Amino acid sequence: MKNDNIYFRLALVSLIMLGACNDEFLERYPLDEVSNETYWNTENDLATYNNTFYHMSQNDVNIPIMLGHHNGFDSQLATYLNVDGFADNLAPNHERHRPFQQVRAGRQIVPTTSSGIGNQWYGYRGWDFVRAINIGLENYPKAAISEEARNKYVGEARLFRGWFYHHIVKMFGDAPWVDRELNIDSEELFAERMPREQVMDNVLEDLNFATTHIPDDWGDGNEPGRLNRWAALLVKSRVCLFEGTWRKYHGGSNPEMWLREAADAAQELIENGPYMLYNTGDPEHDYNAYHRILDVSGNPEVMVWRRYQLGILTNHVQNYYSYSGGATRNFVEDYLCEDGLPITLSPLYQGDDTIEDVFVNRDPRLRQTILHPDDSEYYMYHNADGREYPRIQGMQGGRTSSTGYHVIKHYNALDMIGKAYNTAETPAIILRFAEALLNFAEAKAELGEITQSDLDMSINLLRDRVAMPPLDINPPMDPRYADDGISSLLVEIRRERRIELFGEGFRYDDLRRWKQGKKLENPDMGIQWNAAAEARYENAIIHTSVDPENGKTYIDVYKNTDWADPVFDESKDYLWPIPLNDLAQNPNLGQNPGWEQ
Amino acid sequence: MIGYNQEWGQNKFVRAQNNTLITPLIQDLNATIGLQQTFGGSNHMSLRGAFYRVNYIFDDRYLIESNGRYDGTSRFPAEDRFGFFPSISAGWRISNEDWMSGSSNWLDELKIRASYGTLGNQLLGNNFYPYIPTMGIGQSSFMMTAGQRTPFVSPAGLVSPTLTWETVISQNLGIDFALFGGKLSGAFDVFTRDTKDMLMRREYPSILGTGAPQSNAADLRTYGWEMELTYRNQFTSDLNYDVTLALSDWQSTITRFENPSGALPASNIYYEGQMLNEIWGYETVGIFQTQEAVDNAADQSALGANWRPGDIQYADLNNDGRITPGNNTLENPGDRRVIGNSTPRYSFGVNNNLQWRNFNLNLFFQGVWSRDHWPTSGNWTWFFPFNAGHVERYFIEDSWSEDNRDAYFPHPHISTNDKKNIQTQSRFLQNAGYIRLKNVNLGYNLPYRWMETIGFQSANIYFAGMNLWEYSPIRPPLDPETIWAGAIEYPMQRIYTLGARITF
Repeated sequence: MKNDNIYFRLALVSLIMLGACNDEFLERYPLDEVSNETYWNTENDLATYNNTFYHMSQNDVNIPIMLGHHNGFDSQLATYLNVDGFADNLAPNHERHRPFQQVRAGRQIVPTTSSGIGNQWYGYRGWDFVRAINIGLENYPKAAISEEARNKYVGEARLFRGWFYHHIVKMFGDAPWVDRELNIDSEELFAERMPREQVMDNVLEDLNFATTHIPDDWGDGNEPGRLNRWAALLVKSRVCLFEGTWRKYHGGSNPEMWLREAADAAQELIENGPYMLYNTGDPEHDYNAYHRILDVSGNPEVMVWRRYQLGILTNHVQNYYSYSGGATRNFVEDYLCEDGLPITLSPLYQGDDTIEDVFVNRDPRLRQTILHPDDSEYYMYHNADGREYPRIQGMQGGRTSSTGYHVIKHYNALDMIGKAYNTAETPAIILRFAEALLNFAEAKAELGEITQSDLDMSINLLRDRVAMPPLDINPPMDPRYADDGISSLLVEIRRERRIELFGEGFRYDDLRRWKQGKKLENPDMGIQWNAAAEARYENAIIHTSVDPENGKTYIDVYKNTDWADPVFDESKDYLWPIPLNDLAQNPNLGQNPGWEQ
Repeated sequence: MIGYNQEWGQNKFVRAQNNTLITPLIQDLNATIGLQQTFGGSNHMSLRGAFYRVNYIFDDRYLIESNGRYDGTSRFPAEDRFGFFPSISAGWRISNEDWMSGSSNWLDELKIRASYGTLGNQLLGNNFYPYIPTMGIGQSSFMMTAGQRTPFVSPAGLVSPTLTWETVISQNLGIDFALFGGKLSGAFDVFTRDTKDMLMRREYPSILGTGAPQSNAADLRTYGWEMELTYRNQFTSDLNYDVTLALSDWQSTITRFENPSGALPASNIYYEGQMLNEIWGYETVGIFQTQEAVDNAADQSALGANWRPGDIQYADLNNDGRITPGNNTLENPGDRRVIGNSTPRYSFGVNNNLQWRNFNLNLFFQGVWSRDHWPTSGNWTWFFPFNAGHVERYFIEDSWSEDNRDAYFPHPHISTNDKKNIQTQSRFLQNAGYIRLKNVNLGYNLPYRWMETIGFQSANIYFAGMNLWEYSPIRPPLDPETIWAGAIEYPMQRIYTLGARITF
């Protein structure tokens, strides 16, 4: 009886406590985080939120628009220095550059997912970035600040969104457009892709808002600071030029409008912006000098760059750059001779019987891009090891190349010697003024309204820096390009772009928008391989082929490998395949033409 | 019995960091140069609940017991915060019934048991507020100014507003028996275990742009049985022997999961009716011996480039003339099918004890009858040649060449990035079933009368061995017990011990 009583009392106490149990004792809110409900108040809140976009964009593996050098191990692949490996400028021979080799050879396979650097890097991913932007855009109105102040951040966010969607469209065509925060029950998750032209209309709206609302100068010192209006204009000119030429050559509505937007944006930047080409009057070195230093702050040509500093952010890109193999013969032959004529027309061209001959009487940018044997000491190549260069794959010791053409445009031995793994600080030049000049000239030429003075305010500034003769409005036609169906002037403008922007990640996109994918069916060759070369580069392990045009033998980088005999299927290879997992989860996305299976 | 409990956990940390000491002799934050950084954080959680246990035994024949908990956790929203998790079990000792008295000369005990139980799980690790969206705060390594990290606030993730307890419902039916004066005894159980409202992050189309919220997304049913049999006998006064056999088997299927497009299973993607741990892969025809065979076979270019003699030939299961992974859906898996399942089937253990005079011998065997294993094709792993970063003799001897056409592996491809020949496929699927002698122990107790004379209480000399023998159909160097880590593990060791134990 007594026991029962105790149990009864205990039960009663328990019941009382449980009755009050759903009280604040069980309400536990985060102690060290902020919530969306209370955050958005001041201009500083908006700025701090937008810093997230910069933070995310430094992830070059997932969001390759402001492409720099990814931190650590992944800088072997995810850096703009390597992107030309997709095309005919670089001939990567390291197996870790398989993603480039596959695309280069037209042997890309439909990936299961797009993730990491091994599975469709540069591809269908980065949606967290879009989400972050859209959440910002939905919440900025909550802050009680002036419209003008708010629109700076709206513009910044929309610049990132437009830039990102341009990337998706250029790789995949139609794209899933999202302009709000999605939840797990949003219909967009299972929607079809929006047609390319409609997406690009949205992109243009974003970029127009950005170029009219972002300040010219954020007052943050520009070292490197936030993206300013001039950066937005350069991005806009790039995006519009891509879209205008794509529509012109692949078919699409109103390419002129896009080309006009491209030309106007570039012109505004050129005429009113504070930037100019880096020029100290040293044509033998100015072109590559600022690609080879650790701090580019104050450089008048560098508009957007990413800073690396030990203890905060570092890379290993200089060391990994050997994976990219070397520059191709096709690229090297595109350099003009000193008289402004292509090697096919110029009497100054000395042929390529030795690598030294290749450099004689050529555009000084060649010797600032490709290692001349006599320059090993100047460039401390490789890490001042005292060896003879070039060195060909198979030779023991030093740094070897797949083609014989070592790239030194951004080579910086001082960022390697004595530095441990992932402690290097090579900066990433993300946007530079030279591109605006090239975009302007090309857009004007495509519009068919270019004048000599347009050339003089653009291309010819680049020529002038390296002491090359100016481009004339009526240049002679390089016979190699006579069948391309474009004017000799456009041939020269495109050549200028290829030369000037080598190793900065443009070539693959350029060939695709010009509908010149068939150029990728030419195998990547290296230096001439004659008896002298055989004796000079002892122990090299290479394959060779005879060039039927001149009967001479050259290194054939991919012969007898999985990447021999490159193909480019014009019915499919201009766009990349949507990964299988994305298709499996949302079949409405639809696969790109030719990639269905 | 009834009880009440309440838990409150709080965690707070402050950390300071600087990377550069002025001199290694003085190790203090004060004596550093470079960027000083501080970090901090705190979190808390609470749990409150009541519980009871009641048991009743009538006449040593009928046994009944019930347990229950009523728990609330701060990790779930107020409406879904509490869960009641009762369990009940009952037993009937048949052998104690009067009407069983006729069998008492051979039947020592016979008992049947049944139970039904529920358990709640709210363990979400460090996810303390899974239903409250919060924004991230950080210091980015993206520098806007030299030497300064950039502060940022990042968007809140998605949360599920209806999160609640994951419940495990176990049902069990069993029988215990002992026969012939305890010489033979055993137990047999059949069980099902239903995991309802499994806490997980379902996979959504990537356009969602963030990890899916924790949700109660799946139900899983596990069913199986286990038995244990012991035989023990004393043959003579000097010779004792006993052996215990334990044997069990289980399988699991997904009974609820929303997968409207029928995507093939992947991490956090299932489909209803899926057997857990099933392996999807291609069926291997063999190794191409001639270029002609390559040319006449289905087009394999969707899996890789440059197919030639020595490469793997896959079977064209859907007869479309191409080998592809299809759309990666159940409807169109391309040329893949379920080729195996990595759930272990029929796990067993056998424990033997033999005692003869002062000697005793223990042997313990353990094993699994069958279990499919797909050797990882990742870099720096064992099994597939030239993936490991080193070369073993078998890579060369067992790789295809024109002089070695019956080789197990395709021709050498010295590239850790080329996976075209090592797609998940039937040829290289391994049977990771095994039996292993886990323990041997042979001991000898020195006779007491010897000990007495030298003043010891007892002394025992023994030899013990671990992992002394095994048999498995799996290919070396894989070991059926160490493969599941997916990396090159230190091999299992054989351990021999010789010892003496002396008590004073």
